[in-house]
Amino acid sequence: METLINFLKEINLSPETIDFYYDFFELLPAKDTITKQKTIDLFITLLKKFLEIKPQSEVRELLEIQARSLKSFVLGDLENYQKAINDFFSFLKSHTTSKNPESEITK
Amino acid sequence: MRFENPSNFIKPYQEQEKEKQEEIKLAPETEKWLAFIAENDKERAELLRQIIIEDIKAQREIKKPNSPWQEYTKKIKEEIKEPEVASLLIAGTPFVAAAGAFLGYSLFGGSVEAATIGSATTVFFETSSLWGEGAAVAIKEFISKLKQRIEKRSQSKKEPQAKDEVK
Repeated sequence: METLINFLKEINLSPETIDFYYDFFELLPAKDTITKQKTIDLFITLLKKFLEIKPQSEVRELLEIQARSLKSFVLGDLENYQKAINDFFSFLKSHTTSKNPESEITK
Repeated sequence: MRFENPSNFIKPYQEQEKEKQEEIKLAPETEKWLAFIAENDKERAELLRQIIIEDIKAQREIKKPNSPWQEYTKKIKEEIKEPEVASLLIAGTPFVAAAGAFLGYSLFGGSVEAATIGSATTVFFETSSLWGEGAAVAIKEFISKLKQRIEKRSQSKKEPQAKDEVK
């Protein structure tokens, strides 16, 4: 867990978002402790892969949006959930080159 | 006088019909969970239902071959050699799907198959049987505990603020 928190701090996530991921992985049910650790390691590996290709600011933005959407789901907060989804699609729009209308999300 | 080609009307109608056919049906386990929540809080159960449906719709959109998400993650997918990471990435969108992927992975023993089960996190909401009764109970408990934790953190942030306001 400590490795995860340190890693999230390194990429400058907001303290609220770090708290959320801490709670998420601490409470996450797992088959056993080894599997739980493996899951956390996998999350870190996935983010590191992202960071090899995408700028830190984008990875951070995605993680913040993800935390907001998951939080809203858990709380049953539809309004903020929709906001997070819209932010995600806006994020994609501004970070992809495809302007083909067929590939645009028409939500 | 020129008449509009009838296929211009028929096509949107057919598309609408197709959309209707693709209506989302939640899994029996999800329905049971929502019914359980509704016993104490009908409004929350309804909101959760709407969130789940919106989440599934959004996932379907981004899984389409030409979606901006496919474009955004293309390079990462090409470079990923570890199958577990690839499986999680496929599901690892900023939606409830991402949580489902990690749940699947951690509950079912951290294997590629487990990640795949997780990556079909819609399984939890749409078809369910792969999760089984035990996993479904663990997931419900997890969501409930996480909710309490988030509320507690938000409460403890408000309290110092309230004290400051009194001063």
